[in-house]
Amino acid sequence: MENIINALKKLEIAHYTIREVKESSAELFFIKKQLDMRRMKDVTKDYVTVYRDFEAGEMKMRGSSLALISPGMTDAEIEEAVAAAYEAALSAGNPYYELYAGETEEIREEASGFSGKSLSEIAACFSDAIFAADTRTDAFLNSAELFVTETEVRFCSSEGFSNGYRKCGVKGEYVVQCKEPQDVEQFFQFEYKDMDTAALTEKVKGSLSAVYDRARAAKSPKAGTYDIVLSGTNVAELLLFYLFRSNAGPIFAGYFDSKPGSALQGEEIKGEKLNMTLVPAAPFSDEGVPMKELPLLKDGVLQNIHGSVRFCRYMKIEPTGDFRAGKVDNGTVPFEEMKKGCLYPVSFSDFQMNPITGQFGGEMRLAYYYGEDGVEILTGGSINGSLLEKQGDLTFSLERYTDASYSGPFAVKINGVAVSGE
Amino acid sequence: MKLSSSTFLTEKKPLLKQLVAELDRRFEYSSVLAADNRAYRYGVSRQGVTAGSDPMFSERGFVARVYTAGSYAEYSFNAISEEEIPCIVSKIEESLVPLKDSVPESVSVFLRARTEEEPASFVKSTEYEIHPKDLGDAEVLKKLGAIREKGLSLKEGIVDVMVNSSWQEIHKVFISGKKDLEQNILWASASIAALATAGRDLKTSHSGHSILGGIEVIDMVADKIGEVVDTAVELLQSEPLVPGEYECICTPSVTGMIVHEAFGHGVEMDMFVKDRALAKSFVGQQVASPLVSMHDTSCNARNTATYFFDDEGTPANDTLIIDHGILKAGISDVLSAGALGTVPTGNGRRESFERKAYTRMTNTYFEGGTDSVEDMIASVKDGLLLDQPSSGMEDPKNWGIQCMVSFAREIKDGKLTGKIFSPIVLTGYVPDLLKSISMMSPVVELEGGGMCGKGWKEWVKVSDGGPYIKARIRLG
Repeated sequence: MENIINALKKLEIAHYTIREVKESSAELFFIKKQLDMRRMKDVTKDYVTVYRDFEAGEMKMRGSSLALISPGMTDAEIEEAVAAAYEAALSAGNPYYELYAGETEEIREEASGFSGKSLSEIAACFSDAIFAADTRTDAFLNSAELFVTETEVRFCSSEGFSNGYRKCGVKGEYVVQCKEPQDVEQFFQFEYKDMDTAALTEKVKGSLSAVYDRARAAKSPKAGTYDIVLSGTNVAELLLFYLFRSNAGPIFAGYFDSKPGSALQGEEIKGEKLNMTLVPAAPFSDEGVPMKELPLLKDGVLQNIHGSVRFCRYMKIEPTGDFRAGKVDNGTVPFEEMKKGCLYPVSFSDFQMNPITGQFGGEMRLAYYYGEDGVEILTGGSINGSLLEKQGDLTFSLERYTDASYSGPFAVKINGVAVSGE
Repeated sequence: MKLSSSTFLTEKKPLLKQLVAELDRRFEYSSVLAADNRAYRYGVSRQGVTAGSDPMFSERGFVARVYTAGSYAEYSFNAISEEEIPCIVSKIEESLVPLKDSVPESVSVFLRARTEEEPASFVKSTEYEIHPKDLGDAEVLKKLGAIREKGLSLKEGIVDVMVNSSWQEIHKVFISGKKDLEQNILWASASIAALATAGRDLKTSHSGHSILGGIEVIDMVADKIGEVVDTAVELLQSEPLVPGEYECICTPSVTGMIVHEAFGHGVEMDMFVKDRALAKSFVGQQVASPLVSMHDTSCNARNTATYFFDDEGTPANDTLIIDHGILKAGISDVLSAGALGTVPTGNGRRESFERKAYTRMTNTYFEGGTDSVEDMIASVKDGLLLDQPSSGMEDPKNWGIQCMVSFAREIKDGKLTGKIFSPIVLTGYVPDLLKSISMMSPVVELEGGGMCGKGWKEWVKVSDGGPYIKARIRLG
């Protein structure tokens, strides 16, 4: 980082932010009960954002541009990269805004069960956890990938602050397969910030049960309109709508007119009124802004907007950092009761929410229909709906669900959604 | 102009050869891939003006691969010097190779034959008309700004017009005992998106273009601004579609998404190794209409996924996947080919030097046919014209389709009625769709503005496309 600061000084660049990321990993790739490939990584990168002030007519402007610096770059190369970014900043001018000026503090390190363990040891614990569930004869793990990563992020800014954090995390994905009566598979992802090995074993167990059911799903639902239930990661994806619609960037651009006090969930709410809080994914944003929990919705009404430094300044609020995770307080109906009379798609090819239009949908890989004559196991067909139209009549489950980007009700019921099928 | 070599890689090449020699003394095989890729992106919209390095595609680093006791292992790093070589070798020997012991007792090592390399040595570069850096940031942004201003002036109800461009200079060197390869590639892309509003309704429309070349790409997309703006406003009047099976004409971009998502992922042969692809048992059988021939080519297209060698040092290739409806072959990386006993097709690609190589598509397309687009539309009694793909997800195991398309135009008695439906979800069984293809237009168009993931990660640039096709498709 010292070489970069020297180059910035030499070029007389007054305003800058440096984000240095050091990452080490241990990675395991499995095919059935065999280790296919192992990998390790040690990489350092510096992201240098330079700012340049100028005037366009009578308007005060501040341009910015990013330069990437890698280890082994000579001083001349660093100077060249930073100078090019400074030149680009002159063309990439936006209305002037104040940069974030925080305080210098020690590198933050969250205590976790990872402490004191090597990446290889953590990888061993989590691979044990994955395979501990792979004991059935009628469904099995087809393949899995495990990534254990240790990250150190340090910020240094011309505005007088330096800070940073260290974290360790485990991410991965796996595919479960069932061969009889039909050969099918399902894909799952996981992410943990602590030694939650028991949770991973339970997740794999549940996945094996799901793929066992999918192998027994022979037909698609009848095309029509259904009350549907979404669960787990699909609820998290659906509610990303509110994170995007409360972001200062698109609000500043005039895509939405959201502001604190707006009825973001709509004016008429027959169902549950949403209560949601934004949760930071890391102690600092990519611009070095300390992040803390931020109330987002109270009874469906927007409490705060959030975003990067530039857009928060334009919106005349304190910079919050961009949030990507939230927790939701709702939940009034037991899941078992909620499902009655509903189509419950458990997994999709790729469930998607378009936060600009409010459209959500996807092709169903496994769904249950809880009709008067019992439970039908279904596959195929798709759902296609608009959250803007449906958000006033949502019901959430009492049961909870937590992953790295969401904590809240396990399930949501949405009435009257179009379903394609037979 | 030919793209010149990376000075950094030229300087580091002796060190890379030294590292490979050290590793070869300890392991049965070793190689190093070195990357010095510079990517840049520009954007103008109501959110502001941007110009700067693209962290997603900019990289400078190395990945060493070793083969020992029947299996492969890799170490990614981005610092190398004479003094650091012993540390790199030690890390591989003492930490990476023993990582195989970090698995439960019930898990064994997947043993595969080592793929023998053919000796090769070359330096190859692509050509361009205008390098973005020669034009300069200010001029690039001026061009994008002019397109945006024009778009905003065309119609009432347009909230924003977003115009973006990006480019990537790829410099890669691959060194092993038998290979000394270097490639220098420049691709560029440009895109336009319009956002229209009426009350709380927001609709978007988009278009893009990509080339193996330079910033001349911006001029190639500029003419599309009128159509993009018109469509965004028109979409405000769109209606939801009644789910069902329809006779459809697909534009080349929608054909491309079907090619890529519905079939392309299913012939990635790392999925064959895992028993995750139905296509494995259909080689030699009819999987599509006799009109359909499909290729994946990293050497015979001028688009964003063109190269001279892949990220495992295998030469670029043109694979005929479907020949007149018959599935002929899949595509593979070195490890998959080693496991299956086949020849690697040059499709081993990495998101970056930091990531594993997987079997990945490159430029994937259907060959053209003989029908005019006018005749194709005239042949539809009651159906739809599908346009503007937005996303898709593969299902190689079960050949299910999920593709999202922005809109469909109604066709009645061979004519477009002006009625428009949005959004559209394509579903169904892949062979049913491909076998129903009954007409294809002659001109093949490829588009490579987007990226392709393996599942939900491992993003690489690809292009896909084909001609207009006529098929029966289940829509929701």
